[in-house]
Amino acid sequence: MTTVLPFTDQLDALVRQVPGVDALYPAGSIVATVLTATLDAVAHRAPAAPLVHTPLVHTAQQADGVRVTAKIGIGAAESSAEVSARVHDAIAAHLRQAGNPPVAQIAVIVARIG
Amino acid sequence: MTELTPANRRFLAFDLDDTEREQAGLSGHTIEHLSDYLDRDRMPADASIDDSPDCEIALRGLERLRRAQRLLLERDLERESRRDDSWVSAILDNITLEAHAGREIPLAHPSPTARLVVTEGAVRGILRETGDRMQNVFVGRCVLVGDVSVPGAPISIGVDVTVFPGENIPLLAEQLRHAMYVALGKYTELVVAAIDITVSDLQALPDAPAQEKEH
Repeated sequence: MTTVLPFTDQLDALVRQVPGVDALYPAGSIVATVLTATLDAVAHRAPAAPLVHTPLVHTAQQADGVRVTAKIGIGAAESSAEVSARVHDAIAAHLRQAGNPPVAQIAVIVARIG
Repeated sequence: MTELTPANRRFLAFDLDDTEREQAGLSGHTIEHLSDYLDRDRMPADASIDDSPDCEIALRGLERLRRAQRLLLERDLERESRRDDSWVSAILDNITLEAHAGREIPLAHPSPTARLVVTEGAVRGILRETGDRMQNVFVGRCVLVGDVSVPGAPISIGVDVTVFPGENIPLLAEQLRHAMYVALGKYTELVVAAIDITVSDLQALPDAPAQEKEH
């Protein structure tokens, strides 16, 4: 089961503030994004603005605990390992402060460099 | 290793096992969409492009390619009109293929619940940029060979480049190899056994027509 957790809306801002992060990308399924873009292209229509803000950092409560995924871009001057570790540690600290739920996984994906 | 290969050699440089990502393409866009988007100076903003790291990597590759084309044009405007630009379409094909996220390359972290990765697409993007930053060379293909998902497993990098006039090719290859080793060390924890550079295209300026030589 996947549920929206109460602390998720703070994670986007938290990750963006981590030194070295210069972009934050949607970490959820890309299928919906691709379908929307494809349908927009087929219909020759401008991309629609989202009606509801969807957090870019993806969180899910699953049987084994909370799973958080952040997909980031980093500057060319940064180290992937250092920035992704900083993001991980910031999310872990945030979870501890937000009730310390069991954590199954904190995933940080460096998807673009420079 | 530097070697010559046929200029018309074709490449597939993405993870064929990852069907979902392969089908996703550039988040549903084509390289033509992205080229048009650049022509419009990224206006009006399209979130489906701006929110996609794959599209961003491809857009940056496109921008560098355009800069290289402009540079060539400025160098020799008259001769440019006779240039064979097939290399551009080959590079465009590879930019499209290589911008895909591809496989995930692990980064170490002491926590057992941490999963830190850098995507293959991000690494190919920065390697391509590293090459494109050098003068008189443009990266046509960049592929990571081996199981990049296993920490410590030795892998190799295959790079094909187009070289423009005026370069000492062995020296250029050595400089490019060194720059790529530095980049790989900075952005990944890969054990790189080799970086194989192939000069697949030599872009010599064409000779002037015979009638021009007579005058």
